[in-house]
Amino acid sequence: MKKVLAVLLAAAMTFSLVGCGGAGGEGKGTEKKTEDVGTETADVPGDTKAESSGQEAGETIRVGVLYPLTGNNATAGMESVKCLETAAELINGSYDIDFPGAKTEGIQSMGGAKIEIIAADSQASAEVSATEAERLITEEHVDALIGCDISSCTKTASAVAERYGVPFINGESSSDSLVGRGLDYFFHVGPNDSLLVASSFDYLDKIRESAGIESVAICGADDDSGTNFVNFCEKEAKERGYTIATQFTYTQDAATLSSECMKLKASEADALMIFALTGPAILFLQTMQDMDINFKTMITARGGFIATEFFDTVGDASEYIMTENTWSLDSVSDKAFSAAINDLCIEKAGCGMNGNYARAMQAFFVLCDALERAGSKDGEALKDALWATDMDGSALICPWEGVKFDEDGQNIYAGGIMTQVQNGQYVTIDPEVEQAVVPVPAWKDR
Amino acid sequence: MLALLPQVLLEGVFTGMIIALIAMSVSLTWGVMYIINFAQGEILMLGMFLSYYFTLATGLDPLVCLPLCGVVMYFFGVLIYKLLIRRVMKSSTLSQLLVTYALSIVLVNVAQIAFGPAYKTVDTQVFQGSIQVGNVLIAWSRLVPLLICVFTALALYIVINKTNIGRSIKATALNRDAASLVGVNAERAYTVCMGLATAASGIGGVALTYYFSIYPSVGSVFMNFGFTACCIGGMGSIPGAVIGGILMGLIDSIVGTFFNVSLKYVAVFALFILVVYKRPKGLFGW
Repeated sequence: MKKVLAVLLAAAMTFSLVGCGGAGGEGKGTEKKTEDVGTETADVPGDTKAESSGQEAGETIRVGVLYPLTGNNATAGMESVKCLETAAELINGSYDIDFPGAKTEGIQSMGGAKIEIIAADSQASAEVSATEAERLITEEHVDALIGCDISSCTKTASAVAERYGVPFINGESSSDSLVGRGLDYFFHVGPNDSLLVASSFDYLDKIRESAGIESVAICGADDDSGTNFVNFCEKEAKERGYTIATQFTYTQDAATLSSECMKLKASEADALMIFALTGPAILFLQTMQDMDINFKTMITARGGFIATEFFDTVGDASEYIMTENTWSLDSVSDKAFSAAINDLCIEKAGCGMNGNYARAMQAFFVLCDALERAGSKDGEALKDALWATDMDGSALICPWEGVKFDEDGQNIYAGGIMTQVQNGQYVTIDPEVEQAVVPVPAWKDR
Repeated sequence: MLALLPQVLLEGVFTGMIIALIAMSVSLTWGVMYIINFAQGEILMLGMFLSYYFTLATGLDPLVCLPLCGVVMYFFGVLIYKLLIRRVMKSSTLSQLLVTYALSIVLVNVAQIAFGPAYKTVDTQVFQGSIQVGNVLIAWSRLVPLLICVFTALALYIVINKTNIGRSIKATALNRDAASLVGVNAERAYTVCMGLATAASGIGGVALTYYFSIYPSVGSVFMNFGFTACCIGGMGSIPGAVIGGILMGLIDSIVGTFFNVSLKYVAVFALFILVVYKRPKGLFGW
């Protein structure tokens, strides 16, 4: 019996560990890649940069993508990976879509080299992100890294990439502290928090009089992004003359958000500015609905409020939430390829694009653009090409004027668009303020 | 601000009773078997998923799932005891901790593979909306879990204190050898104890689905608080676990609302340290 028990336990633990690492299509890809790695390491063991420098027609470019594939943020992480795999398929294959690289197969300047996505699990942990980034570079021999969604994870993983001279391109993280670290290999494609918060308040100013908004409540998670968000909101509110009814950071792993919501209720603020990841975002909204806590408007900082599972879970309660977003289908309706790529995501990845996935994919397409210009996957050449990036807005899936990096590696054209959930999806309400529903109806009147 | 006090107190009780249910489960296994079951939170998670899939399959309210969940989780607890816990009863505390810790990891990852990582919620069919009593707004999504927890706590209290098997469990907890000498079947007492603790956590999971999202790692959040409430209330004491949980809920609610949200857990754990310092067995420990 003891032997049977031991075997059962061992099998269960093995099964569990497989669960820890497995996600989406990762398993299949990794198996194939491990064989490739074996061949490469046999030539120049231990020298990652040297391995990446050789150019042959039809070779493979290995792109490591770091996202949470287990734990509370796993769904968003898995969907990000699937969207990036879809983006890679768009570049590797031939599609009748009028988008750079879509009609031809692979990277043309490298003889049609294909891009291979290698996913790793960040577990939404800064420490794990660093070790996984190192593993991707030293064991999986990736040529570039993309990720990690959560700012604290991006910060540690990009520091590792810098040490190894591997370009790290980030789309979704928005902490201001990511740039200005003097990194040569880090490129921030998306907008940062200070810019997005300022844009949110710009919009609040536009509806201030019509909606009668004079006071704001500010709350964010107690991590890097959340704390930054609260601080930026405080600064903007004070500068623009809003009364801060309450401001606080909350524990992300709280068993309940009742006291936080009671505090919001007691504040009697006109508007709520809030940052939350998916789990707390769902709990906040449901608790506010249960306690009948109403605001004239509620502006969120993306995060969980634009996650697919947020909409699946809260349903109609998501109506009228505003978000300073980085993508919505109507914001890029002037680009014919937008709808086609979104449809491709729905077909291949099983989910439509949102502000998070769009930024991740945009980071990938920036990398493809640099690869095309560099004609090489060598870290140094790729880095130089990335610094020289100057993409036009017409070639972007995000609604920005372009991509061009400043001396800190920040895309100078990145920005946000104010969106509001109407009939279950985010629609752009800026600059056409009259399209916004403010003040939003009370819970009882919906 | 003070006009909110009744609402704040009520929210504290709502939160506290959910914590209390986990605390009761921890208290039973620890107080009787001297086993710290780290997988108690994951058992709660399984109860939540059972409730979710039951509701999805039948279209009925999760409340209907309660008896089924109680029975299923009871036998799951018996299985855990027979296959795992019994084997390490005489081992070192470290071995016991590792077994339950490993079980919790296995359950989380099996749940992720089997059910997926996405957040899920149960569509409650019968109890929706809220009722207004004076200044206090009571949402059904809070009241129903409270009633479930009160009912389960009472049932557990009666089983432990008023039935033969309950008395056997208490006798075994106090002195296994002496209990065996007077004819108490300690093995049976342990089996039933583990089954009851698991069923209570599972029922707590069903109650929680009324207002909390369901995902594989949800248990760890509540396990930490349940464990703390158990220490405050006292090992092996059902009323102690309830009082420990409610105290935590009230402190959370009052400090979070009237003082600083960032301080609410500081206050909760300050109470924990104070109780453990002054009375290591907890307020009502055996």
